[in-house]
Amino acid sequence: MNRFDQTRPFGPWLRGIARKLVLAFRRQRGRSRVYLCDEETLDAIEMHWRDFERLEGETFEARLLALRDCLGRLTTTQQQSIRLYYDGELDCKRTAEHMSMQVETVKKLLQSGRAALAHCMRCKLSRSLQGVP
Amino acid sequence: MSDRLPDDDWGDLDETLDMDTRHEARNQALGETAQDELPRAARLWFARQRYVHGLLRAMDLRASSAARNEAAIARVRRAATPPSWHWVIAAAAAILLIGIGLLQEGATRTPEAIVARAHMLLQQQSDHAFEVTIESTAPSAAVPERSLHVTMGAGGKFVLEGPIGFGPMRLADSRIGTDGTELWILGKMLRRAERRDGMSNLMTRINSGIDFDWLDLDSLFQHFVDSSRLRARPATGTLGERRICIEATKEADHKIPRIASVRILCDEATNRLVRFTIDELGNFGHHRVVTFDYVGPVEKDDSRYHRPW
Repeated sequence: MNRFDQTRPFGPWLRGIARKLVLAFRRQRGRSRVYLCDEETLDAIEMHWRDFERLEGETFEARLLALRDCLGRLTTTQQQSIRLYYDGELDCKRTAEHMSMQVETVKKLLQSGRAALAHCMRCKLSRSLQGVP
Repeated sequence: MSDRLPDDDWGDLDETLDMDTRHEARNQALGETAQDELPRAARLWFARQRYVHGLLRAMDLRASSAARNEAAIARVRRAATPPSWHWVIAAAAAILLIGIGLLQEGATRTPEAIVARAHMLLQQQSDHAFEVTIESTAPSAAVPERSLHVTMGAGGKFVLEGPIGFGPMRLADSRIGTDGTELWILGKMLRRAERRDGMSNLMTRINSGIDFDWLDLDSLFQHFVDSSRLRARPATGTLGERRICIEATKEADHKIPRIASVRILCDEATNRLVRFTIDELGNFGHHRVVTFDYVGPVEKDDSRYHRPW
């Protein structure tokens, strides 16, 4: 922490350290033995975080309002799967049991819901940069 | 960028859904070359999924910063095993996914999610003990206030101990139990057992003050799933602990007695069950309130549910 330059933003600095650790781990263990987290993928994750930091709002919580709004635009089943999986901290199997669905269906719902949220967040950023309320 | 779903070949590599060793095994099976050959669209898709996964994880974290940090650390510990440098890498991956959301204020869970989580936490253990209190507002209550102790197991098994009515008698120190197929009662001067199939003769003579349907946790939680309305409100424990109370109400029917409401009280940070309360409305508007205070999990021992003779 004593190497942190307090004039610079904390988030990118912390994520930079995390990125180096992940890449070092990947080099050490061999690419095939870790999750897909090559430089291109990590760059893309970082790009999303930078976009998030450009959203309207002074704080992380204020920017999360955009996500909350986007959540409300998902289909009912997408919302339900996300609430059970994230709010309820259920695993996919239990989420599927609560929704009376197959596990694979729930996984696809979660993935499609997250893709829709990412798209909605991009639209919000784009409108915010254009000054559209 | 396309928001289409991934091909099944690489969609299975999504470790944000139930992170466990299977993903590593799949990665190994896929091999280094195949990872390199994944299209750019796959990498971008993974990046988007992980980014939103991180945001949702950050949103889900709870009110106090201590609880948020504790929850985050618990997740990282679950995702990693010793040696310790694995822990560091898992923590780094968590920071990448979650950003710095852990330091921020989180959102409150929905009532449905709290109930689902409370149920899931109970299901992690098979048997549970409760202290039961029954109170009635009727002036000449047929069922006076009393305290009982109950142990519940999976599949509707239970053992209920304390003062229990049997026909015209009141047994001061007695036990009722079922192993799921047989219902039995044991008192100082009484021992009976019958198959538990619907309205057995034995069941109609027992007056424990509790509907046996409530002695099955899965049935209890099903009431919350079936209810037309769930409401959550903050509450405080006797020692100032932060709690959350979820109340389930159904559309009114004309049955007497009918369930006016069922409430569960959970710890706010962990959502662990503290108490559930059933409010029954009887004749002349009198209420009977049955409260189950959760004592904790008990060691699984199916023999406790079999008749003891």
